[in-house]
Formats: sequence, structure tokens, C-alpha cells
Amino acid sequence: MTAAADRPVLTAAGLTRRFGGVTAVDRVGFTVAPASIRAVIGPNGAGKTTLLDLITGFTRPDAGTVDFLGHDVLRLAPHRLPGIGLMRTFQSARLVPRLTARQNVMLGAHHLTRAGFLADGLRLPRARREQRALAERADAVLDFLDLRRYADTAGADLPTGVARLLEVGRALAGAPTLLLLDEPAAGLDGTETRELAGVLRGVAAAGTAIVLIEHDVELVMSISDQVLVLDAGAVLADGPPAQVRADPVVLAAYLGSEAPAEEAR
Amino acid sequence: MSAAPTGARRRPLTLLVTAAVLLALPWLTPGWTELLVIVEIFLLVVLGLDVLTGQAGQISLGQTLFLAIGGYGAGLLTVRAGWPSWLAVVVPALVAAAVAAVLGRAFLRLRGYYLALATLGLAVVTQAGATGLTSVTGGPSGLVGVPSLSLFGLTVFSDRANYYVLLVLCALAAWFTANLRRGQTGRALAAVEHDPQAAAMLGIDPARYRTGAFVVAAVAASVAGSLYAYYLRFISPDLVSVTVALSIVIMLALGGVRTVVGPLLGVALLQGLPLIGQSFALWQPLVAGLVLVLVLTYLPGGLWGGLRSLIARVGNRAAGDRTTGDRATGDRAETW
Amino acid sequence: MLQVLFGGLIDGCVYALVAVGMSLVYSITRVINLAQGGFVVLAALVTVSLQAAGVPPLVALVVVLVGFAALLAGVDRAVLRPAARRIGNQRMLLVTVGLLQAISGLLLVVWGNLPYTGRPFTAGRPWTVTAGALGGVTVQPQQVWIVALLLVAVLALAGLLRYTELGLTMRATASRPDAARLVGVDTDRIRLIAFGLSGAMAALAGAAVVPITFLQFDTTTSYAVSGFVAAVLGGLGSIGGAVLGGLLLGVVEGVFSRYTGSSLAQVAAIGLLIGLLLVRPAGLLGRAEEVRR
Repeated sequence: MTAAADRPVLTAAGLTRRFGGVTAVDRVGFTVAPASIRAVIGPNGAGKTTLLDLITGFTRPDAGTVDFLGHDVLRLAPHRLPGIGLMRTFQSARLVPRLTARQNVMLGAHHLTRAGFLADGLRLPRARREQRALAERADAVLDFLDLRRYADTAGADLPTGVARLLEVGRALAGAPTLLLLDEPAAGLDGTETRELAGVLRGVAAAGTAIVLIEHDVELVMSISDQVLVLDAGAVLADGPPAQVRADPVVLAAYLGSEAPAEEAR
Repeated sequence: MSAAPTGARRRPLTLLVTAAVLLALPWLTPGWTELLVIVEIFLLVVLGLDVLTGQAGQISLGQTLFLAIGGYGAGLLTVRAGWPSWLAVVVPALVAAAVAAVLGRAFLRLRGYYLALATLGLAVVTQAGATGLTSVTGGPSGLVGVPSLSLFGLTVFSDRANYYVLLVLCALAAWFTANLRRGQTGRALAAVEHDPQAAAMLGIDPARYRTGAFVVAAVAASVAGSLYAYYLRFISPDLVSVTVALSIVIMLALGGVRTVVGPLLGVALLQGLPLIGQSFALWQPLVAGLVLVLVLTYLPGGLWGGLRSLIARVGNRAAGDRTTGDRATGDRAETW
Repeated sequence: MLQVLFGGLIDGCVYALVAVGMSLVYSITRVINLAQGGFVVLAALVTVSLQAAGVPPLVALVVVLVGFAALLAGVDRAVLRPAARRIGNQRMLLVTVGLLQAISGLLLVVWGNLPYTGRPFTAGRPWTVTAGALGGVTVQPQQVWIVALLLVAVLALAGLLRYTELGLTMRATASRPDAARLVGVDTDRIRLIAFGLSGAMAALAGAAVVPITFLQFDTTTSYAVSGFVAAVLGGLGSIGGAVLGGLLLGVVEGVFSRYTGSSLAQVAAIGLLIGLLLVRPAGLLGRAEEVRR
């Protein structure tokens, strides 16, 4: 599942996106090494979510390229990405309320199935086999997250922390090579955040690279291999956590004002 | 999906009893068979629509287009071209599927009211076409002389015969749509209904799934239309009017989405109510309108959903359907 | 031909009134009230009954105007607002369909299935206007009333929206309902006012048109659909657009009726305009972001 050891799974270069007079993303470039965790941090409005939107095809860049495992990702529609190993979550929990936790996680592996309307409608053997495989895979993910007890709970009834974790789990079910997470720790308390950290470390260790947008600086610093700091759409710093943390430019622009807010949590 | 053990044990028995009742129905309710046939025809349409509206969350006020393709198609092919009746059902259904596939791509990107209006436009154009294209459709007086369906050499002429043929079709449709709902397709449709962007990031192409649902609804309506023409041995613009198009959606909303019994209740109520009595006929539209407003406002799961909650509270066990989240969650983003 | 166009224009004025009511309510509540078509016919038949009871036509007009403003506000309070609190917008559309059906039912029960027509507001002979080579147009006094009432209504509404504080509040609520609520606007009151105004529009439409045509319990659907199409055609939420949409629909219908029967003409006109909408979904004066996902 991993590319050649040195070759990055994702290389973004010169990504730019303007909205009217505002430059939301300004010539941003970075790489993601296989099975590593790359964090993207920056103040609100720094263009982090827009960056993900650009990579996943929800908005077109004004300039720049993105290479993912040799694919020119910018030419692909969003729904094609899971098929080549790229999956993403969103800032707000998007589990389907009227499906159970297990059913939601089964959706994560959708791109691995081939049964369509006819096969499902007629309950062809192929569809039935895929169903069983999906359910088993979903249960495996639920076990990995220690959330098996929620398997039959409706999405609408899940507590926030569980829902956020399940969103990550849903993406995991798709066995991605690269996972893009948009503020997965939002709304989680201290314990849940530590759980999430453990899960993410485990995921990376198993070979999936992660790009993580987060405000929780502690989480970011504790698990990331590389940190990208954005401010007003431009790259402020790019390096290992310790280096970024000590960077005076970063401290002045971001960490200095953010740290007290983080401690208050 | 795990049903409660009692549910799993009861299922085959309930199915058996239901099947027995359905098979015996024409004898249990003599004189009502005509109504039963009409109910079955519309049940077929509504079951198909449920995949589009109940599962994919898209409204279609224009199912009469496909009803007309099926009905006029079968009529014209048998009367004017002398085709065998079974073929004259299959081919219009394929045409309906193709039309839905093309229209779906264009329409199903539209939001809310604009989709409603666009599909209403289909209903309006259908009515206009059926009334105006006199040389093709026979104009306002319709197409007469449509033969009865003939299957395996037998002519399906009587009310009872039609009842049984349609019973098989409805059972197939119910089975097919329930399989869709319980399968990965149903889950994908639920994801697309809830959040198309998130669905895309799971590898689900919203356009493809919405269009697929539209095609299912179109084929169901077309087959129903063909059988309607064979049963009445006649088809006219009144049968595919805008009022009928609206009533199809109403029947689904009234009965409740994502079930089989819901559509059955909705169709039975709307088709059966006018027949209660001559004196009632005057009050029927008023009562029907008020019932619709009340059910839509206070019973989010439709009549069937309301009944199930009632039974659950009385029997004091969790209301079970395969998708357990299928009840009012207070989440206003819930479309149906 | 000119006569036909003129007739269509008059019909269009009526559609415009219906569409304005719908668009106004939509802008505040984001719900399309299809029952508006039903209220138009109800207003018409109430007017006829009042006239039959000896009330002078212009007095009847005022009575119906005030009465229906109150009625629509009451309907919002009793039926639509409770529903809106509980269910999403797609189901609300069906609720208004149910309401439309109920009004038709009420009309059937009270007035039966006969067609009705009323007395014009002012007595007078029709006069003819000639336009040289284009032919002549025969104008009935009631038709002038219809145009005049549309103008007065639209100008009054525009004046209200643009020059009064209430109007400003309404426009703010229309563009950002959530923000308006946060700022402390009593959106429920604004809703009531919007519905009241749309009730007045329905009353004007019904009372003004019944002297020159026959209406009955099932004409409701036709006005509902026409109003809906006109409102969307003009761009949902745009008053000016609703007027334009209504007039356009009326004229197109008139042109078609030259070549086909009147019911087919109506249906064909609607079909054509919906087709146009597919090309420009936001309508004539509407905004494109509202439309596509």
C-alpha cells in the first residue's frame, strides 16, 4: 500500500485560490511522506479548509498542481478520489442520521464495492457477498475504535465525541493511502482527544498517511511528523513540530496568541 | 441488520398470513376488486417514487410523464402497430428509463423548489401533449380499443385476473425496493440525501445515484401505466393530468416513506376515500386536504409511521424497522 | 391579434397579483404557498356572495381586502407556522398543496360545483381603442380596474418596502432570516404581515377578476400553478420579477389561445415557461446561488 519509501504520497505546489478580492490560498506547496502525519495549523480564515477543498476537487484553484501517487488530482471529480486512495472528512460531523453507526461505517468502503442498483435490488450473490464483507469490515473498524457497542445506534443519537471518531472510522473503512481530516478534535473533551491521538498514531503506523487540520495545538505537536503553518493563505513555516514551535515568525503570528486559549480548555 | 429475535421469528409467519390474505382478498371483498386493481396500479407507481423521494430525498411532481409513456406507449404499440402486449410493456419501460436517465442529469442538480417546478413542468407538458397531440394520442377523448394484457396465451380481462397479475408485480416491486433500501445502494442514497459532498468523499457519485433512483421510479410508473391502459382498455389525458401527478406525491407523503405499508395506506386512503358514499363525495376534497395537512404536520413518518409509534407505545417495545434511525429526530434537515 | 394580447395582459395582471403574494411570502418564510391560488378563488366567490346580498361592488372589494389580509395572517398562525416549526421546506410545499385542496373542498361544500361570475366595480360600456393598422382593442372598464389595482398594489408594496422602517425590517428579514432573528427582529410578526399582505393581493386578484370570467371550486389549481410558475419565472423573492413573470405568462397564454383551445393554451404556456426556466433557472430577476447545489 505504500509508495517507494522516499517518494511522497502527496505533492502540492503553488496552490492559489482567490475569492473576489481575497486571496484565500496563496501559492501553497507541501509534501506528505507515506505513513506520516502532517498537520496544517493557522488562525481562523488562514485558508486551511479551502486548501482541502482545492485538493479534493470541491473548488478549482486559480493556479497550482497537486500530485497524488502519480495522479493529477485536480482533474478528478471528488467522488473518484476514494478509488485512488484519498479520503477526507469535514469540519462538521456528516454521519447520516438515519443510518446506524455500523451502516455509516459500511459506507466508507463504498468505493471498494461494485454492486449497483440491479445487483442490490435483485439481491444477486455478488451483492450479498459484498454486503457481508462490508459488515465485517465495519465491525472490524468499530472494534479498532472500541465503539462496537454503538454499532446499532442511529447516527442522530450518537454523542458528539463518538460521532467525530466514527467519521474517522468511516474513512478508515475505505483503506485510504492518504486521509485528510478537517478538525477531527472539534467538540471533543480531553479524554476523547487523547483517544483520537492514539487512533491517529495507530492509523499512520499501519501505513495510512494523514493530513490533519487542527486548532488543538497540543494534539498537533504530540502526534505530527511535519507541521505546515498557514497565515492569510500563505505558508509561514514548514517543518517538524519542535522546529515550528520554536520559529519566532510563527510564535509572533500564531502560537503566541493561540497558546493561552489552548491552555484554558 | 439485526432485527430483534422476536421480530426474526415473527417475520415468516406475518409474511405467510399476509400472503394468504392478499391471495384471498378478491373473495373476501367481492365488489371491491376494481378498487383493489386501481390501488395496485398506483401502489406500483408510489413504490417506485419512494426510491427517489423516500430514499434519495428528491421530489418529483412529474411521474405522470412516465405513466403516459407506459400507458400511451402500450396503447399505441398494440393498437396501431399490433405488437404483442408483453413487449408493449417492456419497450416503453426502457424508453422511460432512458428519458429518466437523460432528464435526471439535468434536473437532479436543481435544489428544492426549482426541482419541484421542473418536474411539475414535466407533468404540465405531459398533460398538454396528451391533450394536444390529437393525431398521436387521440386528443382529449383519448385512445380507445386498447386490448387486454395477454400473458402466456391467456387474456387478462377480468378484475380478478388483473388483480393477480398486478399483485405479482407489486410484490416484485416491494421486494426490489426493500432490497435496495437494505443494501449498499440504499445506504448510498441515504448518504446522498443527507450530504452530497460528504457522500462524494466516500466515493459515491451523487448524480449517478440520484439518476438511478429516478430511473427506478420511471420504470415503475411506466409499467403501471401500461397495465392501467390494458385494464381500462383505454387511456386518456385525464389519467395523466397534473392533479394525478400531485396526488401521487401526496399518496406517498400521506402513507409514509421508506416502507411498503406506508405507500399502501396512502394509496388506499386516497383512492378509497371518494368511494365511501355519494353524500360524502361533496365533503371529500375538504376532508382529504385537512387530513393531508394534519398528517404532514404532526406525523413525520406518515400514517404508517404514526400507526407504528402507536403500536409501539401500546405494545411497549421499540418500533422496529431495519434502519433503526428511521423516526423523527427533531433534526430539521431531515427532508422526508 | 392585439385584442388577444390585451386579453392575455389582463390575465397576466391577475397572475402577477398571485405571484407577488407568493413571492412576498417566500422571501420571508422560504416557503411557496400554493394555497394562494385557492384564496384567490375563495375571495372571488365571497365577493360574488356579498354582491348577491346587496353589497355594492366597491364596498365588497374593501371588505374582502381587509378580511383576507386577516384570514391569511390567521392561516399562517394556525396552520403554516406550526407546520414550519416541525418539518422541512419540501414537506411544507405539500402542506400548502393540502391546504389548497382543503380550500377547494370548502368551495365545493359552500358554493357547489357551479361556475360564478360577479358584477363589475363600476358600470360602464366597453370602449374601443384603435391603433391604426394593428387593429383595435375593446376595453372593458373592469379590465382597467384590474390594471389599476395591480399598479396601486405593486406601487404601494414597493413604497412600503423601500421607504418605511417596517419595509426595511422586512427586506432584512428576507435576505438573512437568521441574522434578523439574532438582531431581535420579531420574525413571527413579520411573517404575519407578509401573509396579511399576500392575503390582500389574493383578495384583489379574486375580486377584480371575477366580473370578467367564471370561477369555480376547481379553478384553484390553475391559479396556484400559474402563480407558482410566474413567481419562479420572475425570480423567487423578487416582487418586480413576479409582476414580470405574471404578465409574461398571461401574454404567452393569450398568444397560444389564438391557435389552440384555452385550456391547452394555458398548459402549453406553462410548459414553455418552465422550459425557459431550465435554461435560466434563477428566473428573470432572481439570484443564481439559490438554485443549484
